[in-house]
Amino acid sequence: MIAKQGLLPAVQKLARNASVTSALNIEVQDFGLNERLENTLEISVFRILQELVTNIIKHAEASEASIAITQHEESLSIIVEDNGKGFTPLQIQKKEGMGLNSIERRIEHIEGTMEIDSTPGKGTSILIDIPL
Amino acid sequence: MITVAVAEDHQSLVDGINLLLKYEEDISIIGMANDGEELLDVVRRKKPQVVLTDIKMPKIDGIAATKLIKKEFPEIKIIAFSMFDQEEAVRQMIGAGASGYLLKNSPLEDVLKAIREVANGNTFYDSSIDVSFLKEDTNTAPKKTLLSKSEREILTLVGEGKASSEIAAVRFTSVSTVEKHRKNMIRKLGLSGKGELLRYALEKKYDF
Repeated sequence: MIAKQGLLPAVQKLARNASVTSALNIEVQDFGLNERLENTLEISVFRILQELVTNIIKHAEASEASIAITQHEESLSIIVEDNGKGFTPLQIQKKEGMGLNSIERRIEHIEGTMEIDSTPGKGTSILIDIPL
Repeated sequence: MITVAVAEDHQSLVDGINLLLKYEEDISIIGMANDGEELLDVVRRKKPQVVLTDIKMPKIDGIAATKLIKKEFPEIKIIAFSMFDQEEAVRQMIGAGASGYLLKNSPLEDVLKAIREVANGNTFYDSSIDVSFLKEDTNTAPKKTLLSKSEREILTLVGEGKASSEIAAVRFTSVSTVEKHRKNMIRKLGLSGKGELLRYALEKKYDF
C-alpha cells in the first residue's frame, strides 16, 4: 500500500480502519506532503503511526483522535492526539509498556525526536519531529 | 463611465478613495457603505458596475456580501480590499465571486488600475499576493480544513491574548506542545512568525 500510493493514503486508510473496527474516530490532517518522501522514511513513519494508533485503541479509551502531519521546509512534524484517559509519561517509561520503546527506537533510527505530553484524564499528545 | 460602489468601515479610507476618484473622468463613485448590509442596499438601488469591498465589515462581511451580490447581479464585478494577504482569504473571496483582490497597503493608483481592469472583464490581483494556487486547483476540489481541532482551539486562545504558558495550563498540556502547534499553524497559514499569528488570530473571525 505505502510503496504504491504513498504515506498519506496509507495513513488515511489506517484511520478509516480504526474507525470501523473500534469506537475510535480518527481525523487525519495533512499539510505539505505534495511529493513522496523517501521510501524507507515513509515506511518508518507509517509503522510509528500504526503503533501509536494501536496504543490509543488498546489503552487510551478515547473516542476521538487526530493525526496531524505538517511538512516544514526541513522537517516533518507529526502530532497524534487523543481525548482518552491519559497517563503519567514517567511511570510508563519505567515499565516498558505500551510499545513506546519500540516507537522510540524507530524514531531514533530516522534521527527524529519524540515528546509525550499527557495528563491523566486529559488525553495525550505525542509530538514527533523528523528531519527531512 | 465606470460606476463604483465602495464598502469599507473605515471612513478615512472611503474619503481617500473618494478624493482620488474625483479627478478620474472615466470612474465615478455612485454609492458608499460602512457595512455589508448597507452595501447590499446600495447595490440594489444603484446597480454599480464595480464594487470595491472590505472583507472585515460589520453586519455582513465582504465574503458573504460578495456571494449575495453575485447571486443577484452576476454582471457586477467585485474587488476585495483587505489587509489579509493569506491564501485562504484570497481563496474565499475569489470563491465567492470576486474578480480582483487589493491589499490596503497598496498604492491608491492600484485601485484605479483594478477598477478599470475588472470593469473590462479582466482580473486584478495585488502584486504581493501569490495567486499561483488559483491555477493549481481551479476551485474544483472542495477545500479541506487547514487547521486541526487543537490548532483551531489554540488559535482562539491566542486571539484572546493568552501566552503559550496560559494556553498550556488551560489545555492541560505542556508549553512545548502549544509551541509546536503554533509553529505548525504559522507554517500552514503561510505566516512569518509569532506576531503574525497573533495578528491573524485577532483579525480572524472567518472560517479560514
